Amino acid sequence: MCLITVAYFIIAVLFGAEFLKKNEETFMLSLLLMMLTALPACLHLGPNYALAAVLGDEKASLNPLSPVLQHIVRVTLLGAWLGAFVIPLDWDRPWQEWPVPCCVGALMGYVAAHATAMIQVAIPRYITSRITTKLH
Amino acid sequence: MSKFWRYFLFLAWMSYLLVCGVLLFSRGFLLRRQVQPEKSRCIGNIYCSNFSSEVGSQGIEADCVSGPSPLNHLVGHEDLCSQGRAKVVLVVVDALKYDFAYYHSTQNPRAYENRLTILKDLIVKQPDNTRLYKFIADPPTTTMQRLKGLTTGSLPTFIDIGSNFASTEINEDNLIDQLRSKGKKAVFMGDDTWVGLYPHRFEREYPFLSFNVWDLDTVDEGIKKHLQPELKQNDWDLLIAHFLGVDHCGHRYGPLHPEMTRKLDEMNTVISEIVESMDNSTVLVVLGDHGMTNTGDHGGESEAEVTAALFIYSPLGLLPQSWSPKGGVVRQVDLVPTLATILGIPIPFSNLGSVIIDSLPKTVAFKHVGSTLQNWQFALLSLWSNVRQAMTYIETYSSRNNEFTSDKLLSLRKAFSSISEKVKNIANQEEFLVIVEEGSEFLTSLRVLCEKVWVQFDTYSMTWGLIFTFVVIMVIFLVIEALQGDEITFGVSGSCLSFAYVCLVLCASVSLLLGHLSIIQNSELVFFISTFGSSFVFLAIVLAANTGAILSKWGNISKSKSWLELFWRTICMLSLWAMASNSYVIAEGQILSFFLLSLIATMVYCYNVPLEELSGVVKNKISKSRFAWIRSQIHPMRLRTITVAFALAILVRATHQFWKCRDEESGCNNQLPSEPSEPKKKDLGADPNCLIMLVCMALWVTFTRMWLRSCGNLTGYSITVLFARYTPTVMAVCSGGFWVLQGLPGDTRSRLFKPWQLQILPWTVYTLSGVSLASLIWRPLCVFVVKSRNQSPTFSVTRSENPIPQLYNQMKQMIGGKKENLNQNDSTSSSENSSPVVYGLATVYSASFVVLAVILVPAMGLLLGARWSPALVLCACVATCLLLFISILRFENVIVSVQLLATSWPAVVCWSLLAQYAFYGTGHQATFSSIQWDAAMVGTSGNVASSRFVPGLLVIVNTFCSHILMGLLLPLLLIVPLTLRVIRPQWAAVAVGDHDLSQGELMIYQREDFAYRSLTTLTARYILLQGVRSLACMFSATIHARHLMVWAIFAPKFIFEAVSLFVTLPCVLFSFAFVGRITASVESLVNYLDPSNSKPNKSFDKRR
Repeated sequence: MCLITVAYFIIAVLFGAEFLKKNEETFMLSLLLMMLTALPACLHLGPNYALAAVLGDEKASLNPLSPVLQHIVRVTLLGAWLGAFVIPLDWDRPWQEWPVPCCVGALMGYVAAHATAMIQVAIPRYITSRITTKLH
Repeated sequence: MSKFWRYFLFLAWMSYLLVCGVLLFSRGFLLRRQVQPEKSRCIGNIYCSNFSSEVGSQGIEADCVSGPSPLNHLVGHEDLCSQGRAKVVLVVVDALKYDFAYYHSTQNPRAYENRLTILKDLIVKQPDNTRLYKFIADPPTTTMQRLKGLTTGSLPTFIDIGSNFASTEINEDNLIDQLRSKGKKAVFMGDDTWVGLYPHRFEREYPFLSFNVWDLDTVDEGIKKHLQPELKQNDWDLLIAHFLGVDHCGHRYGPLHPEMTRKLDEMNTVISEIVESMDNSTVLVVLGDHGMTNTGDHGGESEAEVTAALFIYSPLGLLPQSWSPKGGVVRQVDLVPTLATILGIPIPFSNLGSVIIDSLPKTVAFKHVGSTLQNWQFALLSLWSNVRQAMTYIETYSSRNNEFTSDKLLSLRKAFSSISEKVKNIANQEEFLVIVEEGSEFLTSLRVLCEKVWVQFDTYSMTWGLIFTFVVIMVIFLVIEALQGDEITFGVSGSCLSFAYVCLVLCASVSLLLGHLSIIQNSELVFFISTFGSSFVFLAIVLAANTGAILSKWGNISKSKSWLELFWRTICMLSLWAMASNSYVIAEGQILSFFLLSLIATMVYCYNVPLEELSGVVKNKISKSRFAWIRSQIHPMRLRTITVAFALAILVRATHQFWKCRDEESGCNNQLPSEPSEPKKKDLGADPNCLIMLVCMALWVTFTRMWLRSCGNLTGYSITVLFARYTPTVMAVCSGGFWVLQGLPGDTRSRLFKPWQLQILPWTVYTLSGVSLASLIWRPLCVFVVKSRNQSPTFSVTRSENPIPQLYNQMKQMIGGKKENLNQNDSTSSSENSSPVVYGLATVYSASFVVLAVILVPAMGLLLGARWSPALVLCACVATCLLLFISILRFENVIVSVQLLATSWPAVVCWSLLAQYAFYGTGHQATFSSIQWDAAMVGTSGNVASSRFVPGLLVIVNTFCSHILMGLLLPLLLIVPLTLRVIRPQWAAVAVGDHDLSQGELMIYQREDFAYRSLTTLTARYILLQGVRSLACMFSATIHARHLMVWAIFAPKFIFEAVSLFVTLPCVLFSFAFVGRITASVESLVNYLDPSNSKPNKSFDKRR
């Protein structure tokens, strides 16, 4: 967990976050990202497969949740990535401060990922269960 | 014509068309005006033209014989200009709109209305002493442009091409300089923009920072503190007080806020205090440099923004209002001749305004000792000198370039001569009034003419430039993408294409010839039209011939787009889209690095480990080390890609500290730290920059040498190898030494060396790099041939300086060679013993490019200076990492060896992004103030004026070093995977056991056709990406043509992007031709080694 948080921190800095200033904010972002991505993966798949899931190995685990978790990781990171787009704009709004847009983006991505995952997984399940009940 | 040259010519043709399109656009977009260096001066004879000898004087009457003129007695008087001498208090209230000053007779005034009561009182009480005008500013309504207009009297254009456009200092003739040259004193207080425009010209100055828009009071309080003492001191002729509070209040709160009331009341108090304390020989001028919109902003050209107020008050009374044909509306430039007349100085040379007669003070005319000049004569004199000055300016200007059409000049000359005839024969006031009318009309028409030429965009050229560039880019895209692979045969036979080229050359030469002989008026336009017309006909033929292939290709485009494909397309679109927003242009360095790293991260994420190796390696290596867990999780190949990508990201991030910030960003002061620290340094080794630079250069040279040596490319005695072995070290030492010596304190330096001795170092670098480049082109191969195999082991060990890598290589090559020989034993009759040994043949292509890089980097480092050259080395390292990364990824899905030769889109996008980013990474910005002008002084002994060409070239190389480097090294993208396979086979995991691969880069030579085709694709894609960026810049410049930031952001961005395109294209074409040159040399080498067998099977040689 710590390692992944640190990894996120390093990645954020590499992508252009300030290195010596605003350490705390960057750390908060990496912590948030860790909680949104790595933590569920660890809880569901166990630590041995979590990293593989995060890194995107397709057949990392036989757990049916693994593709869903991968999907969540991807969309959350995509959200954080998209969030960074509003930072350079010159609107001078308080919410443009680093790392607010990235955090918001990550959260929104997380929500969107869950929603899409639900649509992808739950609805076919629901339909199949309806069909099976009807068949019975 | 061989196939290679056909590809080359096609690329050159496309590049040429791109350049033409961009030039056509810039011809319409970039408004140009040349700054004329002349200064006006007072002349003895008012009817003589002081420029008659230089200009040719068609329009200016050269006869100085004067008739019975009213001003006759002044002829020969020494100092005509000092006729009207009065002092002026110039109060500039930033953004003082006409509505603020005008008294509205309403019951409940708005926040900004009726606050300046002192103006109203004066107007009511002393109507003969006061004037209030609508003061029309010329767009752009930003303070700096307005101040230029208010002091020089000229119209603003984008580039005032002067001798020095690095700083904002005005070097055109202006009021302040004229004052100084007459020995008069100016005192200034307020907005520090003035001090930037006129450094060291004021007797006393009290500048205050104008940056903080939210600070309403600091500037104004500062002025108030100094104003009254200065008014009492009374030793000045011009007192300028520039208040900023109203403008800042407008920006922050808008004009309807109570704060505006407060600020205007404050201004009211200030003005009334000035009125009370000024003496009789002083004229008070209150003006707004521009207006403001209803939201309080300014910069554009809406009526609210351009309508400022001008208020003039003289205790002595002003000339009657009926004399002025202007009514209540004057132009901003009109103030310049008016002030010059009041102050008694010559009207600035490039002024285009016309004097406001009814605001000239009445009595100063009589004050002049011994003069019997009446009021109307005084007015006539000022008008006449104004007319003459404007005509002289236009004549001088048009004699230097032909922006004005001759018929318009002719009509101006006619009007001028009729006025000058009349001026000589005026006897009384009634005739004077007629001439006033005519004079003002003349000046107005002159100004309108100049406005047309200088202020208006040429939409025709812009539109066609955009369309042409777009079409060219589309054609490149169609030809390259749709005709990918085998189908690039250009449809019809080569004769059609060669006919096209002949046609192009013909077009260019004929239109140039016609222009030269001045048979046609506008040769440029003819040139563009004919070029594009003929090109498009041939392009249409090419496309039409290939319609079938293109359509089938479009039909075949698979619906299954991978994530990576989607992502790089998105990134391309976003980076183009970013050009359209000013904040993204400002933060472009950040954005490019962000995109580059995102793309690389995605490529890592989407990387699939080649399947064949998956089973074996993972299971075997379960060691007990700490990383065992990671090993079990991550495949080693994946780990390698991650490591390389990580190193790349760290390097890119490390270059962030070399960024220069723009003035628009908050907290930007990048010029300051380097300047003041210099005098403090006493000890020699104190400058850390020089040390870092030396270390970086040394590391770069050492590592590239090690690499070359390990590939066997530094063996032997061919001239290129000798140069490659020794020159980089010498160059690095020289350029490092030059900057260390430059970093010494000035007195120590001058004690130790004469100036010319210092110049030896850069000249050594220039000469060496030139000679090495020439040798590289002449003998591009870095190989060493040993005839017989038996000799080779001993030979190589004794001769090479470092035997270990040689031995290692040799063994490796031997193994590879055996394998190859097994394959070839049937087909070829040669035996192993007699086959010659060639050192470094496996890396023959890349070695030449590496030598190119290793020569270029120290030379560019010299130009970049101690501070930025480490950044260049870092960028070169990033490029190396990127090459490694891309070549690892290239092996991802390879099934047949020729697939290695196809460069994927993401790789090209990465390369292009890196080229763009490195521009920012090496401390540049797309603004003119951030150009590193120091480069022009390196090795030119500082005498820049002698020739513009060499310093200009040096500055361009400095500014676009990244584009040059990346453009020249572009073919490495194609070559390096093969190198990697030979040198580090374990890194290049590949499923195919194709024997082609073991030959290394010789494969390019063997699969010549295929290699050229993919090289063409690669080059064309790179050109396409650069071209699309230029197109996006052009487009955003067009849609923002009236945006308030256009001159600050979009136009410089466009210029830098266009110049980078112009620099990139020749570099890319050169590198393309260079590959061809290497191939030709390899062929001759092969023929030399094995004359009998060269044709059927070229893969005969051994490599070392």
